[in-house]
Amino acid sequence: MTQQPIFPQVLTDRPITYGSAPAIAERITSSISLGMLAVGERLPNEQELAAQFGVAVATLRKTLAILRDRGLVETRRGRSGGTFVVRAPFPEPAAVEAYFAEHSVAELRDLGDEHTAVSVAIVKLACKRSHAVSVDRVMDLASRIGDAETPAERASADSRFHIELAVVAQSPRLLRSELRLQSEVSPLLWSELVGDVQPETAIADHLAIAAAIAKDDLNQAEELVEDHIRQNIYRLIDAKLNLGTKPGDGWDRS
Amino acid sequence: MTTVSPDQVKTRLETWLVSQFDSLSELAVQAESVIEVDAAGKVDIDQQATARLEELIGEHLVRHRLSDGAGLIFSTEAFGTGDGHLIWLVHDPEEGISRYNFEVNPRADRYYDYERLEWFTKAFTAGTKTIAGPYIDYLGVEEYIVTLTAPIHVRGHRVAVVGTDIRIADLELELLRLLRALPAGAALVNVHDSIVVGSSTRFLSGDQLDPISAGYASLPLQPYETGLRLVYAVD
Repeated sequence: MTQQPIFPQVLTDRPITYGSAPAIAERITSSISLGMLAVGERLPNEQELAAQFGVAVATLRKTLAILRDRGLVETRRGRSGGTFVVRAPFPEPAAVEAYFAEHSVAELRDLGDEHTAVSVAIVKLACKRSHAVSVDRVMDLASRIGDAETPAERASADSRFHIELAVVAQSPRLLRSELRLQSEVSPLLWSELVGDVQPETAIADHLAIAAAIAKDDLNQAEELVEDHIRQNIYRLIDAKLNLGTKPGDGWDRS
Repeated sequence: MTTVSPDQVKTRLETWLVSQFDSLSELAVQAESVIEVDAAGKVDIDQQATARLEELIGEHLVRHRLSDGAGLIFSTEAFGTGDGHLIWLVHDPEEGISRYNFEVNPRADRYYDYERLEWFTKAFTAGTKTIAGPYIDYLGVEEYIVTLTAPIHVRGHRVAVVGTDIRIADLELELLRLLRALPAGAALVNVHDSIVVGSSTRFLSGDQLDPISAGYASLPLQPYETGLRLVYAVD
């Protein structure tokens, strides 16, 4: 019965004036950058959004114009029209910090559980459904992180590999789930706040997964994916714990 | 940084746990004075008594912001209609403190069959203070929680349990600052060896304590009947 708000309060460097079009654009941008609104998702209609933020529809339209100018959303006409998220910006450190403050360790563990379930199913289907050409494509994408120059590019290259596995698996539903999970997890993983990122480790993991798919080795592929996601989620949990209290902090308060 | 010993963490956790159960017992005593039972041990609560119980539970929730919800859960036998009966109030973000309704008809599709759940059976059958979870309260409040319960007796008849829910996310905020005082990692572990809350990736909520990997020690926690332990890594 308790529903998560779609636009939780996210910290930004800039002071927020409630109700102004730029302020609302900031909040929606943060939600998109942290995957709370995934690429491909449709925003609620103008009336609903205006009501959610307690502003006039005219103000909300200005907000959408700002987001369109930034290339984050696109408005399409017609029966299946609406405003859609088309690109996720890389989150500001403050937004990542707020994400960790708002999510418990247990929730991060659960994110890992879902990610493991979806990705294991995908890699097993990828083993069964891949062929020489699709394996080449997976192999090619496995090391793309090496070409990336910024954290944002690395996050995007990392996601792209995992999304390709879903493409090879040929399940549109699983692809949608993977897209949603990637848009939440990947920016966090490559954020400076989480740190300790070794592109080489990620590339080695990706190449090993790709090799297992090439051999149609279901069991090995499953094990590798599970391990890869576990390591990643553990890094996020460690980051959350370290961003919160340092060991010993808060002890004297109780 | 002050060095904190496992014994100090144990003491803090016990103080916290005991105070949780104390306030639950307080609510139980208050409720026991409102609930009437007939000679056969059947519960009789009219509208006025229900209103009074709701008031008492509401006051309890006002004092316990950490609690997701609290209330009384009657045994179907004592209640006598064949349906379940709960008086459960929750902190609702929109409505404030409000009554939460469950499906109590055993023939209904989404029947909340609480008499089979650990927090009820242990507190009611064994009559002990119980902490159940972490678990997803499917068909109940549908949150990832722990539930603390204790039995309620009226004129010698055990008729219900009193309980309070704490969301795992909130429990984490409350207990991590204690567990984090042991830098190698520590956890609150339940009677089934499940991690309730832990301070490292080695101890994640819901996971079973790995019996193969040694390297940790444990200390039982009061109230002992709950079976809770403090588990901590030793290098």
